[in-house]
Amino acid sequence: MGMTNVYLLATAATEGSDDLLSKLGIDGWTLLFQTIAFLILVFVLGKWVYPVFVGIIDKREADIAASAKAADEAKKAADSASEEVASLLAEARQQASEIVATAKTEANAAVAAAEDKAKAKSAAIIAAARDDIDKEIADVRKTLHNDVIDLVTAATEVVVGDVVAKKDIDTALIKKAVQGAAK
Amino acid sequence: MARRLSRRALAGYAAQQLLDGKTAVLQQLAAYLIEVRRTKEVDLLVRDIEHALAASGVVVADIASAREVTATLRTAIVAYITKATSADDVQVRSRIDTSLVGGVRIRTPDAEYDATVRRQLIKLQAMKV
Amino acid sequence: MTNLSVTELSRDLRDAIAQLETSEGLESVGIVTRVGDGVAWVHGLYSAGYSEVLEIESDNGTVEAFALNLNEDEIGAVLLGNDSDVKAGARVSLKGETLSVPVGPELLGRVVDPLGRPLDGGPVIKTKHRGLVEREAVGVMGRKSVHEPLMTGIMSIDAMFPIGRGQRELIIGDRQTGKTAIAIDTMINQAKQKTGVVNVYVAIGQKLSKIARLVDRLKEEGVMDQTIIVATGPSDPASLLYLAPYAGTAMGEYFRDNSEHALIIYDDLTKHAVAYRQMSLLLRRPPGREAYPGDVFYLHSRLLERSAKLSDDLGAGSLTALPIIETQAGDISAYIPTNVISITDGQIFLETDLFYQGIRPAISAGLSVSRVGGAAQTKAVKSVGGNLKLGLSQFRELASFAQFGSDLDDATKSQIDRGRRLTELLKQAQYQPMGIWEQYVSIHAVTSGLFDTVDPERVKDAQTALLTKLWSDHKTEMRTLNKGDKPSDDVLALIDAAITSVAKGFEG
Repeated sequence: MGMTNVYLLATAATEGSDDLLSKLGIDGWTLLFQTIAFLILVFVLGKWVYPVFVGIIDKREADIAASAKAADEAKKAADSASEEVASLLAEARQQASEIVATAKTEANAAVAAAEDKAKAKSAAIIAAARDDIDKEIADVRKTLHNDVIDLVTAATEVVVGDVVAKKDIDTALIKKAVQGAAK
Repeated sequence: MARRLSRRALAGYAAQQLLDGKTAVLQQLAAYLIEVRRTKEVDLLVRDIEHALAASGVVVADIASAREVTATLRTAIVAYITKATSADDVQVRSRIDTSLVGGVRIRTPDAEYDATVRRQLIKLQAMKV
Repeated sequence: MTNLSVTELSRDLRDAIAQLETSEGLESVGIVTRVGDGVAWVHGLYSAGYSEVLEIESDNGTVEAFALNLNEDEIGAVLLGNDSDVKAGARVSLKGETLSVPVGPELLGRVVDPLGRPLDGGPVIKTKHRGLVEREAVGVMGRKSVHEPLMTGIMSIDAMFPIGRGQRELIIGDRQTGKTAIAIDTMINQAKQKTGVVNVYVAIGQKLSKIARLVDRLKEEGVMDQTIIVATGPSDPASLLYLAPYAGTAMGEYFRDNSEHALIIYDDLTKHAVAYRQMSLLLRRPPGREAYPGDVFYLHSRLLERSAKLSDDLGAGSLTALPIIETQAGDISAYIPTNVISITDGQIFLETDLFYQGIRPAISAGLSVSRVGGAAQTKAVKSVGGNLKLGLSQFRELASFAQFGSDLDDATKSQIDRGRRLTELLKQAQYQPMGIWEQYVSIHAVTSGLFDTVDPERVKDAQTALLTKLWSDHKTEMRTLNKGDKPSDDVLALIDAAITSVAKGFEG
């Protein structure tokens, strides 16, 4: 029925406009079919093609907006990071200078200690040398002491032996000893 | 096996027997020492007997000198020993030892008085360092 | 420098000859019947007393001996000299006194034998006083409880097993575990901290080369001036080894009885017991357990009881003893070690395993103890010592879990790390004793947690940096802290700030 109406409309239109269209040089039936083709095209595009394109464009727009936002945030983060780096650097410099100062103090202390040790060592060497000399002198003294005693003993034995050989002296010696013990 | 008799116990017994006039104890002791193979201890046993006798008032003393001692001196020495040891009886044995050089050495069972020149020389030697 | 003065020598000889006297009458004499192995058997001398000195004549002068066996028929006398000089038939007389040694400040700086004869080549020592080698210990009422610290300078000992003046603390361990090193560091610390404590080091049967090295080291450290060394080598007669600790004690008692403080080290009593065993067997005394005579306990107990803190009435002096005992294969339940452990007031046990792990001093915190404890500790070290002990005991419990590494919870890991830091901290090089302030600061740095960020393997470096920093920046405060009192809040804040600052440089 619809198609009959369309045919009838088309026939009426054709009959009515035959004159105008023929004067314009346009074929009515071509125009009709082209119009229908156009409408079909618009329908097809509108249903399947334009949404895809629009979707792509919308997505692209959203991506761009997101990128722009991310770029903003990254910029902010970069700014705060560089502030933090600056403060860390300052702190590290401070610590480094303290460590260097401590190391210097340690080094000075080590040098001073080494100097003191060297001085003490040299004093000890000198003292040890003096001790060695003292010991040698003491040894010589000891040997001399013993040798003198040996000589005195030997000499006494001979000399006293001859002297005491005289009977009276020996008797007197014994008498004195006994009297001394009896007291 | 019989318990080993100490020298002091033997000496004490022998001294008591000798003081009682029983001189046979010496032969018995000699036989005992041979029996128990202790003959090497004879000298020490004699000393112990003399010590035991000294404890009972009988002192046996040795006198050594470089030369013969006069009778007067001998008497003086005996008197000294009697006083020093509180002895009732002093028996003296004399000996000449020229190595003593001079002076006298008196020995009792457990004591000695050395007043010889030799002793002085030994003391001098002891001063070596 | 000594001069060789012939005039002086001549005068000495003349004086000696003038003093030659004849004896005053009959004197008790005996004769040597036989001699050998350092023992002379003497007949006669019926009035000789126990431990009385006898003089035996020989061709090379007089040899002294002392009577130890008073038998019915003869006396067994232990020779104090060479037995080759003594012949059978030699004349023996009584000296009339028991054994004594020269004592007094004249001995300081000298190396002597147990009879006081010099071994260092120096002149004969002439003292004003003599002390008895065998002497009774002070009675109960003459003593006071130990309350003054004797700082060894070794952090693990001063913090966990503190020693007080008048205490007897045994140092026990296998050979080559650092026993003598602890004793030497303690002596060095007395000089470094200027405590005024006199050292007496008794070497019993020690190698003479070791004694010579010790003397050199003490001279280098400036300690020798306040030290007496009584030395006997392995080739000396057993009688001298036996007498050495008693002679050393007599020398130490002089200072104790004159209101001063002395420290005596017996290195080592194991050799002393062996020498006494040798003497007793040669004297035919019946052998007991391990062939030691029955009175081997008494040998050491009468020696160690003479080390004491005296009461104020007797001058408040003290004699602190550090006896050393060598064990075999870590067996502290052997005869002599158990004897001495039961006599002393605590022990420091050194383990071979710890030594070879690099933990030196190789002190076993689990087996060591000081029975005097906190009473002999400075307040400063006492305040940090408790946490130290706790940290280490917790670490010991968890030590077996340490191998599991990442499988443990954080709390356990932190305890293990703390324990590792403490173990590392307690390592200490030889001849470097530490003062009170150094010990306090070091222990506080770890136990307070301020060193928790420090890599455990760098703890020693951090400690060195911390001590250097504090000494250079706050010397006055550290000197005050070194007196022993707890630091004030201000000083504590300074210390904490320094620790925090140093810790950053050693983070792991």
